[in-house]
Amino acid sequence: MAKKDIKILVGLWVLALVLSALTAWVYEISYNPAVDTHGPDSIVHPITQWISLPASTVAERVRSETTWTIFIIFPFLYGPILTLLYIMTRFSKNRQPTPAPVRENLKLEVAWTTIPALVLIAMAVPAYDVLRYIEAKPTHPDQVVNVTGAQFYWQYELPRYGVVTTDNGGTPTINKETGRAVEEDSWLHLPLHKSVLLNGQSFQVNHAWWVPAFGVKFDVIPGRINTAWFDTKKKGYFKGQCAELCGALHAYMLINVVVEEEKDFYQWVLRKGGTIPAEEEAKVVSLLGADYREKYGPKEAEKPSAPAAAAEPAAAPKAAEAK
Amino acid sequence: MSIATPEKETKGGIVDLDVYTPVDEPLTKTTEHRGILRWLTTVDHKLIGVMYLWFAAFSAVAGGALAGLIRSQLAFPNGIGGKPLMTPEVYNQFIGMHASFMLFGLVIPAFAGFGNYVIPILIGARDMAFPKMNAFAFWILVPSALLLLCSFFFGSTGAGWTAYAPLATKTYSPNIGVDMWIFAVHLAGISSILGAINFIVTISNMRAPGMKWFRMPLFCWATLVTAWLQLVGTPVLAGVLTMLLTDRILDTGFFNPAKGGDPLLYQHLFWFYSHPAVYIMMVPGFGMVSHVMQTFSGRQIFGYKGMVYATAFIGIVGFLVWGHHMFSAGMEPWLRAYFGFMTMIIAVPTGVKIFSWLATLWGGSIRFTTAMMFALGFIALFTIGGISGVFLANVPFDVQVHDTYFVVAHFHYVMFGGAVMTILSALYYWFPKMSGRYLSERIGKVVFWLIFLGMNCTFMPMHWLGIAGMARRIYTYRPEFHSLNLFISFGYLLMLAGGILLFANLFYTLIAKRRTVPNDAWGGNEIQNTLEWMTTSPPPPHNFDRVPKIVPLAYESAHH
Ligand SMILES: [Cu+2]
Ligand SMILES: [Cu+2]
Repeated sequence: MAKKDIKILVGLWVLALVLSALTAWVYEISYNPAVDTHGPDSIVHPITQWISLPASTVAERVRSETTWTIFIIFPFLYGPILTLLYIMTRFSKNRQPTPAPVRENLKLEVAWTTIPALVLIAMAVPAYDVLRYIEAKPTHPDQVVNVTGAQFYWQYELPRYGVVTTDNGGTPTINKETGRAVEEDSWLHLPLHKSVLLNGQSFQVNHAWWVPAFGVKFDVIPGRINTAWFDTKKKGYFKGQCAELCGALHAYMLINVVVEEEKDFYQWVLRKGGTIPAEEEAKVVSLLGADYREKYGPKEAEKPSAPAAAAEPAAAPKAAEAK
Repeated sequence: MSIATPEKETKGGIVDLDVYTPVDEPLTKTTEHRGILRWLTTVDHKLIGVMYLWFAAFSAVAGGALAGLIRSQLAFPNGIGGKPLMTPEVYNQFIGMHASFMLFGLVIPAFAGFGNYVIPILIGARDMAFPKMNAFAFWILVPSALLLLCSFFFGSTGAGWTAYAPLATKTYSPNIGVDMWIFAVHLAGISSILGAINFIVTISNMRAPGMKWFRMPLFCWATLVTAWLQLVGTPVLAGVLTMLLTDRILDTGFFNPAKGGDPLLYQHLFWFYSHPAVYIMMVPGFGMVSHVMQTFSGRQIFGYKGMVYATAFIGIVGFLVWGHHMFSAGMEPWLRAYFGFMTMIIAVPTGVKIFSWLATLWGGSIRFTTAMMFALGFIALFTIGGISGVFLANVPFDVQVHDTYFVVAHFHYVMFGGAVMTILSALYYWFPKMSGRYLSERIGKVVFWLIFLGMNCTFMPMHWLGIAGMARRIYTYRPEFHSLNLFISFGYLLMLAGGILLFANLFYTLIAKRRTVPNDAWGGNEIQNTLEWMTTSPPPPHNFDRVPKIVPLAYESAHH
């Protein structure tokens, strides 16, 4: 290869590197931690919000790892395309009437085999670090949620409080006065700054529980219990959706999760007719006062009786939790 | 016949045997019929190849129309004037059918068609090794397509082309259309296996004297590797679909946990075939564009042996990565790490191929014919598909975008940007050889730009949709995704226009144009030196008057 050709090639690939860095930078700055107003009005935020506001450590790590991957892998996107464009302009029949004969170049072949392999290792190392973090499920999670996928709704059980709730998906109706969703109480609620272990199961077909802002997606499959975990790092409403084709109404199997202050979370537990376990009693009293049961618990008349459907799903995950 | 003259032997090329070799009676002697009977009874590899291609064209129309229905639903998820366009049940059937037609009806048969037509000629044979089996392998596709079409009217698979259990079992998909769909895929599988056996035997045994393994043109290598993939992989698909069928009909419970079965087993077996199937649908295209690039750049392929090894390596490792479709399905932690690692490894030989093509073009004298434009477009699009593939090998990222539009974008860049672009490239390249007529280059350019731009408008925004949070296989979506979906549907219209123009030009050329193509349709075959350009266009029934003898080819003379 002529000296000039080598110079041009190096130039093209340096340009590819610069473009990659630029792309990674653009992706990175779309993360804006300053916009941390995940207040009640976040209910109107689009699901795309997760990119600027990942709400768990897993999601944050996936996001920053993506920036690194873009930076290190995109040269192999821009490089070939820039080279191709250059070839098309310089080596057209008009400009180059006679083709040059092909000469073997072993060095070149070795280079374009080993360099991509090394770059892949550079991508794999942090990726496996994140993977290890994802796999390191807490042995003593702050909250355990048994998730059941069904055609076509999600059911959550918080075994510690005996709370069962069903999220029917669909688009929430906003109450104009309070600015909150009418269906809010039927969604999954979680306390802020806590680790959450999810046990997923299904009794009919496969579904996948996916909330992008938590960086969690796991299939729920009949006959097995899959688990996933994340930590709640931001307050607000988080949207997700079933991510495994499960039948006609698959598209309507939306997910809504509320992450709130611990005191609000306990109020929700009490509203849902849950009981506070003895070891959390002191904390709840300090947060809500000694008369929390009377103040926040369901009024006698409207005490919800546990849905009949909950009895069956609740049994299996308990075993998993014990394990 | 313009088989090379003896003096060419000194610089390498293809010459006649010194002594005229009397050949057997032409294999196609029996087919003396005319008109439609000639097609129905033929065992000539060329006619069968052409029928495969028409079959692929028909499937492209069916699959393309289905894509249009899918796109219209997604452009107007709330219906037009308050009236929904289709029910979710029908929509789910459309996505499964679209994939079935495109994969089993278009891509695999199109490659089988080009392979059938060109491979025996490329290796200097007079036909495939088993001509009657060849005909059988084609004709069994016809009931397969009919079953596929009819299954519509009986409620076909609403579980996507993957037909995961338990959704595809009797309880959740009671329609008989699903059984028909399974039979259709079975028949297509039989066709695939028989075709694969035929290619392996033909390429192994019927090469002309002097056509050593490493003198074979790259398309032969590609077809050989593909045939092995089909032979090893397809029986597994047949097995898993049979298990699904017996679960449906005999209640065997292979995938029913209540009966000791496991739904996850279905996914493992299904992807054991369906990941290699990705290469079944890519590797022949790699071979074909290599021919196109050599012809229109005036240079021999750079790193011929590297290309061969890369193809074989892709074929082998392709069997060891299926789990990357199941990262969120639940598996041992080390298994996730393993499948991610192997998937990254596959990127290396794929990169070798892209770099070798670029090195082939560098220093060439490029003629921008339509075939070449499709080949160059292929490099760009396949690079994009390959890079998003590397992202998907990155397990934490994959978990986030699994089953979203990011994946849809990825495999359309591979299947459309890869497979379909190479098929169109090969069509423009070999059509003159097959029909004796040139397709219009001017219209061809328009077709290329419509398809290339339409393809990018359609599939590029899907990357963003997936990362942003749009799941795939959904009938309706959150309002924030509406504008991009409208844009995507517009991109589909561009591709549709390109497709219609292509078909119009194809029919016009076949009906109105005369046969004028010389042996070496594109000129300059002395560089690449492949045999199809040394016989008439179209070739005689027995391909060559004399068995060609291959002497050290330019590949070797240039490199050593
Ligand atoms: Cu679903
Ligand atoms: Cu795969």
